[in-house]
Amino acid sequence: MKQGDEQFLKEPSYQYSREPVKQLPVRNLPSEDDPNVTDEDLENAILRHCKASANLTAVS
Amino acid sequence: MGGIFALGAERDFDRVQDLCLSVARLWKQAAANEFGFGIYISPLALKICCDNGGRILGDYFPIPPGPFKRIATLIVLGRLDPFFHFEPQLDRGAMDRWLPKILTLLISPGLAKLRVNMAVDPTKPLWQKLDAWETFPSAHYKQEFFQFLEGMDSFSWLEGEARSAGFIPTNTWEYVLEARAARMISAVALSLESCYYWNEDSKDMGTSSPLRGKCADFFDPSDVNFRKEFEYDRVIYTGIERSKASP
Repeated sequence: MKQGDEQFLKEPSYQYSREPVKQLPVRNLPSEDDPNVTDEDLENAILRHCKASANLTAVS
Repeated sequence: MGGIFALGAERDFDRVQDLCLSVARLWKQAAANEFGFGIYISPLALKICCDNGGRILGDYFPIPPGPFKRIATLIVLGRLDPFFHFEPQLDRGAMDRWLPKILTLLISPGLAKLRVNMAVDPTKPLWQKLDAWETFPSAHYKQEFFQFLEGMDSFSWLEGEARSAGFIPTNTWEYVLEARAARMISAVALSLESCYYWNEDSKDMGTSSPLRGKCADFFDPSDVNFRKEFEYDRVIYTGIERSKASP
């Protein structure tokens, strides 16, 4: 602690209270489902994940 | 707001079910015999998941929601009120360990089923696919992600005690459950988003990082059961490859 830092150390003079927060203040890239994706595309996506995940560890 | 947890969309249930069925099909084909159980989907639980997902995304997040929040919603709600179940029935501990792993298999097809509009001008949509997901940045991250899901709890079991003790006034309990779920969805969405960008940018698997991929002490090579479960994705992939090689 440096000299003079005591000035930063004190209890608050007010109580922090919250109201229920519903809408989280974030914005998004708009998205939607892609009608052109087939069942085979979905299975291939899973297999891509499985193949890459299997490579995370060298243990076999 | 498009499909997959679009409140009021008639076909949304079918789209979410298609994702789950793709997991169940591959599991049956490549891993069910190895691990001794099959994966099944409860239509009733999935319907509830879709209703709750649409409501939470609509109430707590901007509309239309981003892709990572949609898939995070599927995973979080699938953990809190499972729509996957396993037969023969697993004991409680095995169920808790396996459910996060199976839900994780929904990430890649879920994102691949979505597209984002990159256009500045809303009248000229510029759709971008989300098919770059491959895996987590490290084995340790993957294990931590499983454990994060494993420990996730809606605390619905606490309701009776909390009410009888007067902790929770009437009409606020539903808000508490949904608000907690929304914040869990935010956390998982952030995790998925950062992993997705890593998948887009880097495939060096941590070789250039002093930290990434270097934590290995969570992994006990002598624990055969842990290792086998951890590498369930390898079982799926090699099983499918084997079946393709010898039809």
